Amino acid sequence: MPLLGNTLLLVALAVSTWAILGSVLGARTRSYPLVQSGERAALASWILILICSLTLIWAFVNDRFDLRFVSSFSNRDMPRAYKMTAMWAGQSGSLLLWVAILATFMAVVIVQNQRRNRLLMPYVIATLSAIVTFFLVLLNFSTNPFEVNRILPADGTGMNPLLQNPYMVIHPPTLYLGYVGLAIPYAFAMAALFTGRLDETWIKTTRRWTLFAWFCLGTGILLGGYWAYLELGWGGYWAWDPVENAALLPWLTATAFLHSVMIQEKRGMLKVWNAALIIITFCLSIFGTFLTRSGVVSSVHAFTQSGWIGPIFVSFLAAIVLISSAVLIYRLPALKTEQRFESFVSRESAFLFNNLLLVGSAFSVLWGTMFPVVTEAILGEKISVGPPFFNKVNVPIALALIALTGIGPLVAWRRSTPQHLWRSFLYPASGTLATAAILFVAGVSRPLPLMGFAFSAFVIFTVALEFWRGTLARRRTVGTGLAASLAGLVAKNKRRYGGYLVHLGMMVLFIGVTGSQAFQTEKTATLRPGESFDFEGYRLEFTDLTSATTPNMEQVVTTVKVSTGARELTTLRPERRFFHHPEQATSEVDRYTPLGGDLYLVFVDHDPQGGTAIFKAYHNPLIKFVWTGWMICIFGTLVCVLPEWLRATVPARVAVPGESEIARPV
Amino acid sequence: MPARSDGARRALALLTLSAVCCLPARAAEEPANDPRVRAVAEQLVCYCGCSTQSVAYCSCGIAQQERAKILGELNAGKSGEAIVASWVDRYGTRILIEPPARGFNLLGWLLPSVVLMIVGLLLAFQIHRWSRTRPATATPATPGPELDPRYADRLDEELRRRGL
Repeated sequence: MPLLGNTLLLVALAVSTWAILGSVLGARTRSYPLVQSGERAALASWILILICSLTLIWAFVNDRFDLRFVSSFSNRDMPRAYKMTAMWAGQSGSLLLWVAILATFMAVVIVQNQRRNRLLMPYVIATLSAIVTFFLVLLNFSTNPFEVNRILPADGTGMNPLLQNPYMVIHPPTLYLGYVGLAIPYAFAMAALFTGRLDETWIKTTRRWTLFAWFCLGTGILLGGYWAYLELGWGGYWAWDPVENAALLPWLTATAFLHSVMIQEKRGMLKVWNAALIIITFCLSIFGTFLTRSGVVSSVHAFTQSGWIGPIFVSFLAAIVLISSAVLIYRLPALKTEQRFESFVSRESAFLFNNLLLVGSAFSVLWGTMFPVVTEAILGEKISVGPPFFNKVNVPIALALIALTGIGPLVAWRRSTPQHLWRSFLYPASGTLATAAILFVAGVSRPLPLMGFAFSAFVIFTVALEFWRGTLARRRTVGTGLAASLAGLVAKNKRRYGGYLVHLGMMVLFIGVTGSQAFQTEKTATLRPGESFDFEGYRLEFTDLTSATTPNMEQVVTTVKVSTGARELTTLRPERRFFHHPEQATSEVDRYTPLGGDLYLVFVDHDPQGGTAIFKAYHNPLIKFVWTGWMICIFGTLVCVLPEWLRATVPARVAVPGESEIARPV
Repeated sequence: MPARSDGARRALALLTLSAVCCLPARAAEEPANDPRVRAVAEQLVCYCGCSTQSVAYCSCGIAQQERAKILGELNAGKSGEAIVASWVDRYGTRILIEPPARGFNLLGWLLPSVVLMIVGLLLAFQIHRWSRTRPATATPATPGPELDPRYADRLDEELRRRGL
């Protein structure tokens, strides 16, 4: 079985190398059979990689501890669902998953483009196959998942218990879908540069791919945050950990890209910048994969200790940067802008500043993440860059970005006249000032949180106004009722109004972040059964403690009654778990989650002799808005990618009797 | 991803327990609830190895123990700065949650904002220049005041509806 896996990996490497060579040679010599052989080789490498992955999963399910990777991340007692997903608990399995996803996407792209983009496709396949080949080199020669144990162990070590959680099962694959998905627009951009077909075809072809990757990356980040919130027991969801930052970086630049391509599509400008941006984004995606898998940030020394994976990754990254920028520079003369900026006050310049802020915040996150490595390399001194640094640097950028999210859609393309500006800004700006005043009176007096809430409110007002004005205009011209006009409006401009919905969701998310970051409170208490403590208007009474033993772990469960005044609200049961394989203690928090904010209770420790237990309670105001906000973003993204034929199903003028009367506001 | 695996951690947890249990079990006297302790502990990285969390917020046993120690030192009259300084002596600069803003570290603090500001200014300048050197062939600017405002509004709406 290890033999099978290794053979398949080697054959896949050979086939995938041919996919690069065949495609490029075929395209250069205009030989269709060669191009076709490249395409088929790419499909074959996909099938081989898929079989490799299934073989590894099969090995996990069947406890094949002769494989070192299996014995390191699984054991006999582990539930089957976790065995099936243990593949991405460690380095080589994750890399195999990465390349399996990439090869699958490549196969989808090949099928999608059987009849389209025929001149671009050989280079798309070559680029994607080059990435596949790189990962196959890693898997074959550096971090092989089919490596055999010298001595057959009786049982495996087991997966880190913190990872034995449903969110951790879906978090890495979701994130990878995002990281890998970014390879598709990158490959098309490279194909456009290689072939010199520099119109916006590559952007239009990959629009849904980019959105899909952006969406998966964002969802992956959120799932990771939710997992941290439930599992790590420190009351938060984001710690500016290098691995978290690694996923945020390409997400930020992909967000910038999604916006700036609109300028190219509408006005034929910024061609160089868009190509550069997708190159940067893909580099950050590879960098993120590398950071997640190498531990280089904890110390530069981890770099060389991780089985050559560090230097190989860095060389690959350098190769991408060199090749991509070389082609880009070669094509610079052909990438001349078709149009010019007409005014400072225009949608175009709003987008440019949006790009500046998004890329700037990506840069500051990257800089903060890598600064310890830089100082250690230059001065030999170890320093830490913790959450306060990132908050100080990124909160102002985020606030500016939110303000721009509100301003951007109100400014017209090309140029905005003062009258137009006045008309657009009057209501949202007044609403924002009123909101700020109310919040200030209500006790939100610190400037940054106040600005956070007020700016988010500004964006929400502008989005609401856009929907309202659009709906009214449509009702006037088409003559349908309000609800039908709204539906028609969204269906006719899915991208635009879907985008607004995503903005709305992001603002709800920001409100949640502001609330839970700026107004979090906490309290620790040591209690005997029967004792209680007061926290944020709640009374928490520790009633009892029970323990249970399962083959996998020992469980200590506490019961805490939560009441306010005389009213009993709920019973929380935070636990501690002591896992046997590997020996490790984890904490399972419990929460009471009304809309205003979570009461988050951690059972920190207990003393079996004295009968006392230590609890830590957190109050996280508005944290539900974080998760809800992303749900809205998901909905908005879905609206954006709804297929074009949907607009045909919305009739232009349907007079449903009485509907307009019902829908009209009273 | 914080990985806190090892048996030593359990042993430490036990140690912590014995330390904590000696303290009177009353919520008000928990070191973690003391704002003075928090002010000090917030500046220090917990060395448990989970992630870069401060001693004030890390949920591990070590942080709990250290908070109790800090409370003791504060009660004994030691100043917050002195406690932080003694940590730096013991563990080096990396025990501080953010690099001190001096020397080479200033680069870490200032570079992102400086780059952002410079690029922002350049961009603003460039857009300004672009918009002034409009080519003569460019389409005429938006309709002037001579156009009936009702038509202008109608046009605006039409354009908006078509997403232009």
